[in-house]
Amino acid sequence: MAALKPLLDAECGTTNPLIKLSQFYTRDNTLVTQDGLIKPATNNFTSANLTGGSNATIDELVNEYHRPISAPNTFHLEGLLTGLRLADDNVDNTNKHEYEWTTQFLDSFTNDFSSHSANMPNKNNNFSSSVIHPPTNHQIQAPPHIINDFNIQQHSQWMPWNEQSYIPQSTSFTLNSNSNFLDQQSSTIDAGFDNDTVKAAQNILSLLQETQFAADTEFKDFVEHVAVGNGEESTVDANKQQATGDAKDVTVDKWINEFSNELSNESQWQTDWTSAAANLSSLDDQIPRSQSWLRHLMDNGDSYSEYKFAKTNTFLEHSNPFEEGLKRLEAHDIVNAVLLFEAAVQKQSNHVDAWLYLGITQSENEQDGPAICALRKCVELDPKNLQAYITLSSCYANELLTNEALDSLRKWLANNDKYSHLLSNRRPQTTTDEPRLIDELAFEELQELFLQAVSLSNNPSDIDSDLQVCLGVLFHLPGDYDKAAECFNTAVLAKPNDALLWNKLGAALANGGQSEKAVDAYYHALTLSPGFVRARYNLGISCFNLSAYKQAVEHFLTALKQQSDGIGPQGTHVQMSENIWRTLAIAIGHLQRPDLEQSVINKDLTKLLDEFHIE
Amino acid sequence: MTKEDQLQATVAFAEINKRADSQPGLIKKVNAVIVFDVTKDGKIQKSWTIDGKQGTLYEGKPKEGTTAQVTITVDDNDFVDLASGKANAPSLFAKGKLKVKGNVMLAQKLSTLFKEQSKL
Repeated sequence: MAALKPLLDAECGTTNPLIKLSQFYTRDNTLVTQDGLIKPATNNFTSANLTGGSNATIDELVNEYHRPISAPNTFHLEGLLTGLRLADDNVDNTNKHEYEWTTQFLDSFTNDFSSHSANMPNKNNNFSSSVIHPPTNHQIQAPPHIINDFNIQQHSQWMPWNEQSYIPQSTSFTLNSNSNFLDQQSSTIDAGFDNDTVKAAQNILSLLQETQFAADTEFKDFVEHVAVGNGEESTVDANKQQATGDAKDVTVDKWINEFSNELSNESQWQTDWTSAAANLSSLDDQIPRSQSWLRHLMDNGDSYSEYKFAKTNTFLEHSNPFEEGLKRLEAHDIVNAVLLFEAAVQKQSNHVDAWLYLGITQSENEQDGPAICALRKCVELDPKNLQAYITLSSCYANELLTNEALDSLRKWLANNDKYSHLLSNRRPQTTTDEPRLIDELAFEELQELFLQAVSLSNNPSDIDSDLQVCLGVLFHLPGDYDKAAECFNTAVLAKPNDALLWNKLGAALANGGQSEKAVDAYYHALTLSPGFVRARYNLGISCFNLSAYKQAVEHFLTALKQQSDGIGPQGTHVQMSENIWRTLAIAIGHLQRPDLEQSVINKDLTKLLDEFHIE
Repeated sequence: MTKEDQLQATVAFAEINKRADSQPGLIKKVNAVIVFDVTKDGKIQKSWTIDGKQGTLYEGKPKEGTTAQVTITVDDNDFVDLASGKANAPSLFAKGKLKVKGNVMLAQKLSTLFKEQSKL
């Protein structure tokens, strides 16, 4: 006993190691010590001694903390279910605690990106805090949670939740702290389990497959066995079987109810579309299709059919404008890049890449109109150009041309070798070129397809950022900005140096009302690409929304200056964005400076720059 | 002064009209006929029509020959939040503060009327 004295005695200034150890076991509500069954505590591990440095994988760390737990000698399902029932009461929080744990853990590695993790307050938010971190191996594992949660949420919104035509397969939940929950004893079932139990087990199993809870646990294996009805030796007491069968039914029903209630509450806005879609054809006030097609043609055919080149372009004589354009783009000189690409296509009108880059760069230059023209030319020449389609979809989304955006997204999918097979599995779309009214059915279908595409990836660290962008644009169309932001966030995880992605993230956040976070994202974009006119314009808009009118004006003016700088020595024709001027006018209006109104009307940039001291 | 004049929505709609004046084609971008029934104390006080086909915004129910594709019923205070960008339609809808009849997806386009859209 003397040897234990140092452990047991209190000593000033030092922490008794036993007390420290006990901290790991006392916080958990579901701790069931009588049975010897202990649920791993979802504690804050940041104060604990973490193994190694940042090289330790989460798995190793999780295992390290589970080693001291003594494995119970018998399989006590009752105790297990008690724990589950208790956890069930905060069924949300179970997942949340796990994510919080991982978030706190990951936070210890993050640097200046940690500002993002401050609670994005969206309703599907159990996972977002673990998402926004610089991509190391650990963090890349985060996305499947989002994806799977998306699958669950979206999946359940569009179809009755118990109809499982596709279940996300990527349940490789490596951050699972429950993996050594139960002891190593093989879970065996008596073949005599009754049908009710088997059915209940099947329900649990499908539920488990859908949620992240205990994804890889022995419990899941056990449930699988029951569901399948394996006949093996059982160590479970026969009496207990009966009791546990009943207990399982209760738990399952409770889970099912809670789960479907949660989802149905959140999905009301979107489910209304499905009913609206069903009613679509029956609404008398819908425009007859022929008319809408005609109007569509009249409205859009003209504005995007021909690209309007800059009237004066000093680069027209350049020997290799395309290559030079790429170089300028690299150097973040967007405006001159535009002129060079224009020269390139004027020299060679079937230059696919030149049209493509012209489109992309004009979009960065806050000129969606010309961007759309250029991109349409590109796909005319190259109908399988994925990058063009993805850029087109964002441009159309910005212009509120919802049908065209949906169309571009569909074409991206159809021409993408990785995912085109998903389309062929579906009923063939009506092949008419007739553009539809905003088609909720098309939207719903595309959403399903994209979510299927996302679920195809079995490897959690393999994020197809383009796919995430498509999904983000898709969500952005009906105004589901929170989900759109999540998707762009995931894309940014995979490509943290892509300024365009940061801008998209910012835009989705801003449109969803989260202006401060948006500002953050725009700063990332502008740090990566200082000449990114669109990001600067967006930054101005967010300042405006935050009532920082002077700063908004300054940003707008800087953007305009960047645009006007790229003309070259002789050009007087300045291609500045109408959008920016217009918003600038509104912002100046808020500044109560009637003296400047005339300058704005005249587009007297020099005077305005001078007035606001912008170099 | 009638009760109708006390609606904050009147001011809000005037703002929107001002915006629309500075940006021709803004209302046309909505490309739908949307009617707002603004309520106060539970009763409909006034209606406004946004005619995206014609590009006009006016007080009252749709003119002769025009049919509304979406009708939104909302309280005066909530409308002001919507118009100022403080709240968005889906969230108001989820709270039961906004009722929509008709093609819901068209209603989403309204956001461009209320605040500057950030560009993807």
